[in-house]
Amino acid sequence: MNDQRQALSCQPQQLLLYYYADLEAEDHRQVEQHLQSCTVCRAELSELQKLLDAVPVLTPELSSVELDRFSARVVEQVQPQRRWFVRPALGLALAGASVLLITLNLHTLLPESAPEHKSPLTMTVDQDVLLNLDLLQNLELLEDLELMQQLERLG
Amino acid sequence: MDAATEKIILDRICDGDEASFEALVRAHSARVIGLAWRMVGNREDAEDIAQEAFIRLHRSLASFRGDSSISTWLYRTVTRLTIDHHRRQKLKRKIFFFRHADAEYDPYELAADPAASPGDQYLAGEAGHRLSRAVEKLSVQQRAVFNLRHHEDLPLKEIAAVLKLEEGTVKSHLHRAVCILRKELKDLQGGLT
Repeated sequence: MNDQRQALSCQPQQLLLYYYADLEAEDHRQVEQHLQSCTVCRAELSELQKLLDAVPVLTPELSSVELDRFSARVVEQVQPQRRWFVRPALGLALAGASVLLITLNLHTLLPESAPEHKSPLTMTVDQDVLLNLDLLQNLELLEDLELMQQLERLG
Repeated sequence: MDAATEKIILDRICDGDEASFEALVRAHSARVIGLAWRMVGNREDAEDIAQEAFIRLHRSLASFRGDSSISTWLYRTVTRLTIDHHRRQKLKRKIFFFRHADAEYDPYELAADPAASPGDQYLAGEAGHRLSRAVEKLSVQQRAVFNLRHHEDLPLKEIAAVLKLEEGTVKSHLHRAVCILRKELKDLQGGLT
């Protein structure tokens, strides 16, 4: 009877939380009390401790120079966005100038340049390449794995 | 970094102080890269993920209301990015097999293991290699929970907040992760360090 009561209060999941000190004070006290009377749980906790103490808590070592270089790289990535927001007038002026230049170039070039004809075969090949590129470059869009599995099933 | 200091730094960054942003990145980068590194297994991808997390933080600064600390926000973003990374890797592997279904040899088995390049792993030696392999057996969620609890020493409540999961689910992931590690590392206990 006593053994049965003891077995009912054995909760291996609690032992893990006990190891990581993640139990509420009352639960912690109960587990401690249980451990005093239960040899099975004591052995279980000892095994857990052996394993988790042996898994080293490691942070990959990065030198000060490496961290500086990384921080500089991040700042460099965000700087262009900030400049655009800080000087919107300059950005708009540059965009306007670009549009004007492209329009002028098109007007100058269009009458002289002969239209380029592509054979239907080349067009099809290009289209296939583009479709594949799209597939590979936008893998995030293919989150639905079922689609892939359906394709696989179709052979 | 306490909440008050964080608030001052955030205000400065919003006022356009680039040096404050660089200081913020510098202060958090070791832990952020470390978490990503343990999650993806190689340094190059880890740095790319950490960089993306900081860029997203910068983009979100204007709307950052301080509901969570910056480190919690960064951990959450890195975890999401690594989950996406694993999903993409899995899909790439599927496409790879799909394309070479008729080949006599298994091309993926012959391809170099990117996680095994010298000097790239954060755990050296046979024991480290075994641990890395054991961690690979965990699901991404289990790996995230185990990393945040064991290596980052985050309490379960905070892990639940970082991963936007119920605390019970976090406990369950942690329990399963430890069970798997225990099974995989049974013969190495006491000799991992």
